Amino acid sequence: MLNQLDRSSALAREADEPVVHGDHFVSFVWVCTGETDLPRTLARYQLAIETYLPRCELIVVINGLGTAVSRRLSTTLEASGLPATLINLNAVSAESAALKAAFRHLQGDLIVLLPSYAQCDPEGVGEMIQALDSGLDYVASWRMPRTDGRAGRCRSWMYNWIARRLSGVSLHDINAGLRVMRREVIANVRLYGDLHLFLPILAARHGFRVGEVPVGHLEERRVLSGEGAGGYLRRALDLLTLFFLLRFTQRPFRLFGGMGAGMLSVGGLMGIVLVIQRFTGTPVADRPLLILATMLIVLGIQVMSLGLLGELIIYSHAAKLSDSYVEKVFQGGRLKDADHAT
Amino acid sequence: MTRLKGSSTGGPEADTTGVDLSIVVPMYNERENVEPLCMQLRHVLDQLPCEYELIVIDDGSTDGSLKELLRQAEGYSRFRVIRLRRNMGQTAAMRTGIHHACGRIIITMDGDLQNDPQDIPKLVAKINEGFDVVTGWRRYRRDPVLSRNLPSKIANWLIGRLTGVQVHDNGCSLKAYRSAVIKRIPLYSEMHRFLPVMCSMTGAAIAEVVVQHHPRTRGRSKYGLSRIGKVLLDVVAIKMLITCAECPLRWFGGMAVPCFFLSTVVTTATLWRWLGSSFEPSVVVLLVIFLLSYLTLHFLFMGLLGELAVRYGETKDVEPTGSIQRACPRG
Repeated sequence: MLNQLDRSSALAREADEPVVHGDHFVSFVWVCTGETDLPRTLARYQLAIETYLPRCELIVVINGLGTAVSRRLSTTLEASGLPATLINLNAVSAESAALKAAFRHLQGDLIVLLPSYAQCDPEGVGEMIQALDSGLDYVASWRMPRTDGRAGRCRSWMYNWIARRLSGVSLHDINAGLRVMRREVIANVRLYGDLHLFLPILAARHGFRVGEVPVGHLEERRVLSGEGAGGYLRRALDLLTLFFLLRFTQRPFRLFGGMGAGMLSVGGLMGIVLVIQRFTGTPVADRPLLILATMLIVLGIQVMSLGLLGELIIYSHAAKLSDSYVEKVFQGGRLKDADHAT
Repeated sequence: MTRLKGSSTGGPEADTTGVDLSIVVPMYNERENVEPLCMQLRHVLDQLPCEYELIVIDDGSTDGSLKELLRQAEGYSRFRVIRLRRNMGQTAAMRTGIHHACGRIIITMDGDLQNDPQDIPKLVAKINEGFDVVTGWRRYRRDPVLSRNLPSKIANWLIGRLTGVQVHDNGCSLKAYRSAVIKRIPLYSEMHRFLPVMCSMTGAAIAEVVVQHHPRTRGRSKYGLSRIGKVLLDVVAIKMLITCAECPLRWFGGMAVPCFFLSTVVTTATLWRWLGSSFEPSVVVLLVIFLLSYLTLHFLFMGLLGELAVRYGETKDVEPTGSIQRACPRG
């Protein structure tokens, strides 16, 4: 049961590329936040992780929960016998920062990101790794069938539909926390702020092969956040971020210059009409059209300037563009070790 | 005055290796064209008296081009194939190729046989005459007039007028550059069309050479007509970058000055009339004053923000191209 790829990075496997199977060193990364029901979640995850001993490790990041919690967890982990590393962050940090803190200590070639609470059935990890072996670089989970109510399902469906349309990546559950990926994805995709939410989309844009596997849905968290109107707003803002990420970071002037020029010309036209009307006798002082024309001119110039500013910023930092799109280098027909800068 | 612009794409420095010529060919789904292209290139390049290397970038092809390329490259040590994970576009592919190139002279060309490899010696000769950038000029294009030639002519004329760099054929991929010049230019997102323009920013000498053009015989064209709008917007952005990438405050501030004067004049006139008699200024005049003052402040702050952006970037730190001559005193 495998949903293959997306429109935008339609990669077909080259027929004679070797498929790497088998022996992986799996790194599990688990970020604990206020939503985590620590003992219960750990018990669940432990079962799943143990199947990969001895070639696995667990990296736990305590995201600002305090030293008491961290100490308790540390004793539990020691007792469990898993090869675990515990990273305690003093203050609550952005999730991307917590993930990056974990990534610095990775040893594995496969990375499994575990959601902070048991959101998906950890048994699904096995299926996802199999999917990875059959030719993918990143496997997302798809929470099916869902255990939350109609409202939650509807909201999730809308969010994912919009995200699919915007990005061209046909995943059904972008926010599912359980993710499996190869080390190259982490090495090449830069994360900061809220971008971890769009990791599958970013990975697809970098050219990694992205797929999804349906996984059972649980909902074992302590604090239910993101419900009600606040949840909608947050998701709407996330989608706005996604939109700008996809359109604005490449050529901002294409997006804003066009919009700005359009507004400016409409405003200018209205202005000319009003000027003509003024000089042919019709009073213009109380007309809303006057205010509208002024506003459009102002907005048009503002939007265009923002586009230009964006271009200037990108240009000024263009020296830092990386070679992260290169998959392989062949010299004389033979695969060469990567010696290019990243 | 030569302006300081451009950024280094890094990579191996040209003069430390023995390679004189690098051919960079981005390729996307051109499986049928691989063999004829490689044959023609080898034929032409083997006759040249210099050390060369061939770099083909497989821009995420899905039709088996990579296999074909590797077959052609078998045992041919001067042939490097770089595969990108997915189709990143011609500029990204070209950038990767230029980054990996070691030659003193770098030549870029299309992978679809529309450029003729036999023109390469002409370009090399022109560079050796002392130019930094040599562009191909497809003077006698064999493309449909209305849908390709005419829009192309208009686009080139526009670009020439707006940027001041008169190149007859910006869209021709067959170009030659001195390695030192091209490696300093930031290349991203469809800027490859404007490479001569960007190179001229660093003071490069640009020449044109008439080259042959072969219409597509195999495969399908991948570029549509809708790019005129995009090209226009890009030109405006590039023009801005050319004029003010080093000193944005001057450019934006320059736009603020006339607005400031106008707004001062109108405000003074209005105040004079208002205070002198019981004349109430009309809404229109007030709106005009508002608009002008707003624009003044807007441009001023944009200039400041631009300065901030440039200050923390690295592009400004790259030296302009040129040469150093030391006068040695005799005796």
